[in-house]
Amino acid sequence: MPTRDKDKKYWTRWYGWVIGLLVTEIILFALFTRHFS
Amino acid sequence: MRPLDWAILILTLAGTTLYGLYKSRTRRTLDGYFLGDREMPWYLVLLSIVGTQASAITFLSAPGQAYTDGMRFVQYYFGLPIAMVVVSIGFVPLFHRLRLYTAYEYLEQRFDVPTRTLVSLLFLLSRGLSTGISVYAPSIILSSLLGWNIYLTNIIMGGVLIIYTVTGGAKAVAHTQKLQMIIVFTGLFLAGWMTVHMLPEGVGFADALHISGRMGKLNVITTGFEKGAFDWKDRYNIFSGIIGGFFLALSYFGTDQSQVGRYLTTKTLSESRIGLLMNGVVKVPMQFLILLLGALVFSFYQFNSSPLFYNDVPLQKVRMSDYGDSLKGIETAHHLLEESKKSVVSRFVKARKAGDPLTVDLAVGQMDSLQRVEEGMRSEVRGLIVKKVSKSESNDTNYIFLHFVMDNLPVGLVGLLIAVIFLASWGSIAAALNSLASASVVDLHLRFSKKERNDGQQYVLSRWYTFGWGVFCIVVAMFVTGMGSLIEAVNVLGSWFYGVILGVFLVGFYRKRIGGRAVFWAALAGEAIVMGLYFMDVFGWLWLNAIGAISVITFAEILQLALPRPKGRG
Repeated sequence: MPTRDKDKKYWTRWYGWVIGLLVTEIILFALFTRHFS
Repeated sequence: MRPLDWAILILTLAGTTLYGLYKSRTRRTLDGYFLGDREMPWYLVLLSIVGTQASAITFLSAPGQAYTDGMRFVQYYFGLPIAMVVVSIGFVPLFHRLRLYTAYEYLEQRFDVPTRTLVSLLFLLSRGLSTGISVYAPSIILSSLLGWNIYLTNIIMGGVLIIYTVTGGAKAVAHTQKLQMIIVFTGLFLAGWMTVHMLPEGVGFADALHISGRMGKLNVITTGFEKGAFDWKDRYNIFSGIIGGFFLALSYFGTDQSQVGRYLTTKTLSESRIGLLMNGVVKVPMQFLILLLGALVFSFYQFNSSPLFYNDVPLQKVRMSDYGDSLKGIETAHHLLEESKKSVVSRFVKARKAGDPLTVDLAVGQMDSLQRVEEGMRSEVRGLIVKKVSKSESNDTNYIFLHFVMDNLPVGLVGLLIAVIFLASWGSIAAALNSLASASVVDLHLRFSKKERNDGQQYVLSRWYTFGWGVFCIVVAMFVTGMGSLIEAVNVLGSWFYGVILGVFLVGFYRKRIGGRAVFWAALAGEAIVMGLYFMDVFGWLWLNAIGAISVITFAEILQLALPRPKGRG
């Protein structure tokens, strides 16, 4: 695989992790709100 | 404050200043002074980005916000991780490739000199004033609670950091921010641990969460819908947080030199990206934990006596006035209410542990009604302050946490937490001074001066500008002293300009057929729209960032239709 594609794949994975973590946090916060209210 | 608190405070502040001076060695060039020789690792950039954004007010205000309004303020940060991804994809590669000192240099390459100068001036105006207010805002809280002289506090808050910022530039700023963040988070962790430790016997961390949760303080996710309709003036909900927060964070991290100047200090593009993306990872949990501290303080005060108003100065003025008897009456009633509240909350904790749902429901109902009565009392006291002192001093949200610290935490920890306020403040002010100096020197002085200067002369000029901006910010702080709490003013100032600046950059990146003249006039029109909407009070301020950016893009598209197409740029 050319370096440029490898680089692109590497950063896409990073972006996926950051957004995925945000979505997970929002879901956990919603559950947290529901549990303690 | 007791002698041990003073000793810890003085040692921490002096140690940080000396550490800043020790880390001051850079090459005597613009690269060395403004960009730390472009050799910072990603973790230092991360701490620097966090330290620049998190000012003293972040740590003073957020726990108070959770105490009064609940934890929903965390939603304000939901747009930030998305913005980090967009900045990493669209902004950082371009800034690195062009080897810029300031973000605004790009605008001259893409558009023209007037657009670069206009945006740089908007940045200098908003950042200069808001940094001055950032010196004053924590100073007024400290001087009010500790009885310190406000002018002297302003000088220590905004003056001592000038020593290492002028001497060492971006490198000293980043290294001291690393130390500052370590001390800040240690202090906050100890405060949280002590809060739980000071709860009555048999009441633990989980109980404290159940108490604050049942009393509406753990409302992390809210939708902003009321009676089936969306409330556009509701400040913090999941939609304003993701959309408004995204535009705000995109503008702040993509176009504000105080942040751009931090992530341009790395050697490679990858290190800048990792620093920014890690900021997207840590920011939301970090704010969650700071707000949780406020919710724990709320639970603590369900078992302990709390003042009806947390800023003693206006309260004292009311006490000495003809409303003194009314205040005394409310305080006596509040004292009785606190006794009932304590016994109801204890009953709630016991019933919850015993798995007795009927008693739990009964206790929750009583807790609710007692809280409503208490809120009524607080609002009566605020009313007295409005009548006798001023409306701007009737909000005590930012005083709650420090009041709790002063009254309840053990000796030593009080001194450390006062030091935390100073260090958090220094971190963001130092980065702001460095960025104000870089924009003044690179975008204005060197750009328009006809005199040739060598590296050494440019370096000396940059140090003078840093010193000058430091003095300017202290003068602003002195000037606004006496205008009441101006914490909101910092956010409002940002929302006036951020959206418009972002709009100009987005046109530059993604609308190649639009030229300088169209975007220049579109920026002025966008600014007029934002100001108009702000003064008409139609939207919560978080939305103004999105409106500003969209207005500039729309106006630029329309104006370009009537203007000749730009040649050879982009």
